[in-house]
Amino acid sequence: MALGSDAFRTALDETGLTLTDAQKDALFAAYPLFQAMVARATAPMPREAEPSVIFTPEAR
Amino acid sequence: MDPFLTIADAGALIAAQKLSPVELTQHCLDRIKAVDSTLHSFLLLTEDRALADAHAAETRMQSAALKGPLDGIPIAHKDIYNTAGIRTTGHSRLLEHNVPTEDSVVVQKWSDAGTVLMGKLTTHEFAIGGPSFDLPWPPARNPWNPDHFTAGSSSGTGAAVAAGLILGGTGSDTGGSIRGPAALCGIAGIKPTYGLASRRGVLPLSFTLDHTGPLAWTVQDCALLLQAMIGYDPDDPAIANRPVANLTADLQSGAKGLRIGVIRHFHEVDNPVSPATKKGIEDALDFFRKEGAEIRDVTLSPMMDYNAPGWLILTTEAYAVHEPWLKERFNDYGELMRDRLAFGALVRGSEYVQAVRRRRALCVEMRDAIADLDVLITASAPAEAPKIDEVPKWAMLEKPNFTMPFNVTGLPALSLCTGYGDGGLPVSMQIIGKPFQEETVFRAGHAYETAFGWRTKRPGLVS
Repeated sequence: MALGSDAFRTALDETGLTLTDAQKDALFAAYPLFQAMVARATAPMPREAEPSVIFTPEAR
Repeated sequence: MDPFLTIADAGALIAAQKLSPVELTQHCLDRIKAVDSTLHSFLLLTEDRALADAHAAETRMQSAALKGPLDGIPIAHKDIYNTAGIRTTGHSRLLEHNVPTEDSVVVQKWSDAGTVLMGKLTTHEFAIGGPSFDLPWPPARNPWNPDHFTAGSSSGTGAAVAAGLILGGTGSDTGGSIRGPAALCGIAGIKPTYGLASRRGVLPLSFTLDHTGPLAWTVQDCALLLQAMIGYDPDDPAIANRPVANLTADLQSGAKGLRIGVIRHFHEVDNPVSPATKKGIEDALDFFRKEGAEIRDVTLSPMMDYNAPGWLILTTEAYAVHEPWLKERFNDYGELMRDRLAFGALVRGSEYVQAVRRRRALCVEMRDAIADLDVLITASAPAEAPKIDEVPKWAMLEKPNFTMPFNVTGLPALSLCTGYGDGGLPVSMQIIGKPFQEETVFRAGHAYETAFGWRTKRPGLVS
C-alpha cells in the first residue's frame, strides 16, 4: 500500500537509516515510481506458484 | 604493429613469434597515458605488474611454451573483482584503501591463462551507483564522445576496450552492467548463463542476479575470454557442475539453419528504440534471412513485467548486502547508490517472495518461447549514448531496460555493435541463447559481425 509523506518518513525512520529531511524528500519524490514497480512485481499469483529460489537437494 | 589488434589477431601473432607481448603492453600503456586523463577508465594502473606479466609471456613465447590464446594479452579488471595485493575499491569511499589478500576466481583464471594485468577499471559504485560525480574518482567517459555516457556499471571496461587501451576486460552484470557499456561504447559483451562463471571474490550486489563476464572489441574475442573464465567452482553455490564447453566450436558455422525469434514488441512497443537502432536490428534480420536462417516473431509478457521483479529483487538483495554500512556510513556512499538502495529497506518480506514467485513464472514463459528456437534478438539499448550529465537518476524505474529480462531468467545474452547513429555514436542489438548454449550465441554474433564492417571503425579520440 502506498504511503503518504508522513508515513513514508516514519517508515524510513523505522529502518534505522539516518537520513536528513532533504534526503527523505528526495526519496519521497521517487517513491511513486518505486511503488509502481512493487505493485507490478507483486501482482497476485496462483496460490500454488513456487518461487524461483526453490532448489534441488544435492545428492550425497 | 596494427594499433588496434583484436585478441584473436594478437594471439595468433604472438603464437607465430611475430608480436612481442612486451611491445604490445608498452603500446597499451602509452595509449592509456595519452588518453585516459580524458576517459577516466582506469582507477589504478598497475604498470610494473603489467610489464612483469608481459616479460613472463615473452619468455614463454621464446621457449614455445605459451599457455594459450590469451598469453601475453593486455587486460584489466572491473574494480569489484578482488586482486591479491592490488587495491579493490568498488569505486567507493567505503573501500578506498581496501587491498584484498586473494584473487577472485576469474582473476586467477585469466592470470593462469597468461594475460597481462594492466590495472583496475572504473565502475559505478558497487556496480549500481552511477554515473556519480561525488565519489573519490570521476566516472568513465565514452571514447566516441567524452561528453557522453558509457552506461554502467562496467563503465571503465567499456571505455577502455573501445579506446584500445586494453584488448579485453571483465565486467559484471546484474541488470545489464556488461551489455549496457558494450552497447553504448560500441563493443561486444556477454552476460553468460547464470551458473556458468564463478562470482567468488567479486563484490556482490544481488546474489540471484549477479553474473561475471567479459567485454572485448569483437564477438570472437568475447568467446576467447569467456572460455578462460568458466569451470566448476565448488565454493560458488550458484555455479553449475557441468563439462566445460568449447565456446568457439561453432564460431565459423555461419547463420544458415539458425532459428531466430525476434522479441519485436520489446523494442517497438514496450520501449521504442531510435530509428538507427531499429535499422540496425532490421538489417541484421535481413542478413540472417538471406543466409538461410528462419526468422519469426516471439511474444512475451511486457518488458516491464520482467523489469519490475528484477529491480525489486535487486534492490532488496543489495540492501541486505549493504545494510550494515548504510546504517553506519550512509553519507559515505554516493547519492545515487545510497538513494537507490534505501528503497530496499522499505520492501516487505512478502513483496520479495512475490517477486521471486513472479520470476519463476517468467523463467517458464521464456523457456517455452525459446524451446524451438536457437536464439532470440532484441535491442540492447534504446539509442545512442545520452550525455553523461543528462542520465536520469531513476531511469531504471521510468522505462524498462532491454537487459534485465535475461538477468531475471538467467539466459546468456550478448550485446554487439550494429552501426552508428546520427550523432556518430554506436547502436547495438542483443542476441540471447538457451541456457549454457553460449556457443550458439557466439555463432550468430560472429556471423553477423564478420559480414558487416563496423569493427573497422574506432573512436576518433584515439584513432
